[in-house]
Amino acid sequence: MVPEGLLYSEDHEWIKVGGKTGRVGITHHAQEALGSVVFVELPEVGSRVAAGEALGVLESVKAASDYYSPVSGAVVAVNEELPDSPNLINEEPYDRGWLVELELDDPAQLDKLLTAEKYIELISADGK
Amino acid sequence: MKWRLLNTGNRSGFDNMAIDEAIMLLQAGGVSPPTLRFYGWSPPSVTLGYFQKTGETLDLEACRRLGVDVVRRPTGGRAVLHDREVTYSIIAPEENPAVRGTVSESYLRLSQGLVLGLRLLGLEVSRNRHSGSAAKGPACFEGPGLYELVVNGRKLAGSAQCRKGGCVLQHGALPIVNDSHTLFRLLQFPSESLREEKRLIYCQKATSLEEALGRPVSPEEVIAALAGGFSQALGMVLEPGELTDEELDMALKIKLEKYGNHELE
Repeated sequence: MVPEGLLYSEDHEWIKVGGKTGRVGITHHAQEALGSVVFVELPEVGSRVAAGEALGVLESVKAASDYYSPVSGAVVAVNEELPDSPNLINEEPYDRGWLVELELDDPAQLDKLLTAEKYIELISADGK
Repeated sequence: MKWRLLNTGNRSGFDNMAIDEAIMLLQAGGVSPPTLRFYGWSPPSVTLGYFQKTGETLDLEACRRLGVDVVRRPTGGRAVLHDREVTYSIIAPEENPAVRGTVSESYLRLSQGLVLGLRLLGLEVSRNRHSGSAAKGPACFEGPGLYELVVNGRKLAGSAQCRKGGCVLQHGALPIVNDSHTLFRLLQFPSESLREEKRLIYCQKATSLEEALGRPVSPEEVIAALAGGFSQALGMVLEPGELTDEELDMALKIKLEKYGNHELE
């Protein structure tokens, strides 16, 4: 459940880049670790975020967990479906469960992210 | 593994939540050590889950009238009235053996410490193995959540977690006595008959340490038993300590920023 063609952070977010923007979500592995997501806090469109900084909070069964931005940039869109259907994060983490769309400050930051292959190595190694 | 053991006594809800968060933030910055903290509440406070909407749940005017502070937790879950109880918090980096793994794995592991601690106090409790998603009411103790502690089918301890900056904070409440009358005066209901009906249902589902033990118990006795349970079950080497000046400064800053006017949105 780690699609090719996306880039991954060590904090278990994915980013799908197209041109100057990238769509961000959490991985299948992350949603499994959290359990059923019941609330989603999304950032304000127009806000700025640095790589590794918290974008918002997901509340799953009794845990409120920060999720982080894989790259620096400006939030240009958020997934408006999530407040009413937070379960999309569990059911379709790479599709309808996306969280935020960012305009990238510096595409060179993408080089620091993991490929699907490296991300699989990471999640097999830490056993989380 | 070494842990700092704190007993910060009775404080306001604003202080209590700000202190937990300050320790977590400073730990994320590599400053504060893994910490097991015990605390109490004065005045009584209602805490709300991170995402819980204040106005839909609580009667804020009743809270003011009864001298109950209202404070938001950094963690998830539903409303809890904290009065005569022992509260614990466990704050450690995600890779610490006591908290590592998924949310439910860490809950399960930490609940072993609580189970053993309560056994040292003389109580046999069981762990609920189902998630609390079926329980829809506003009050937390209405139904047991995942791995929460149950005595004879009634909920004794509720816990909640948050994860920030690579650290896990789990805190939980063990009521010494359970004051359902006050709790249900603080919650909003469309009618008084429904309020009483819900209160009676709650009383069948929730219990307290004194009720379950059938004897009076002091916070000190509970804290000693729980510290023993955590250290035995999780291999924590507990070293009594104090909050540092840096943690107190950070807690004050968080308190002023978040709860400056003591009013929730």
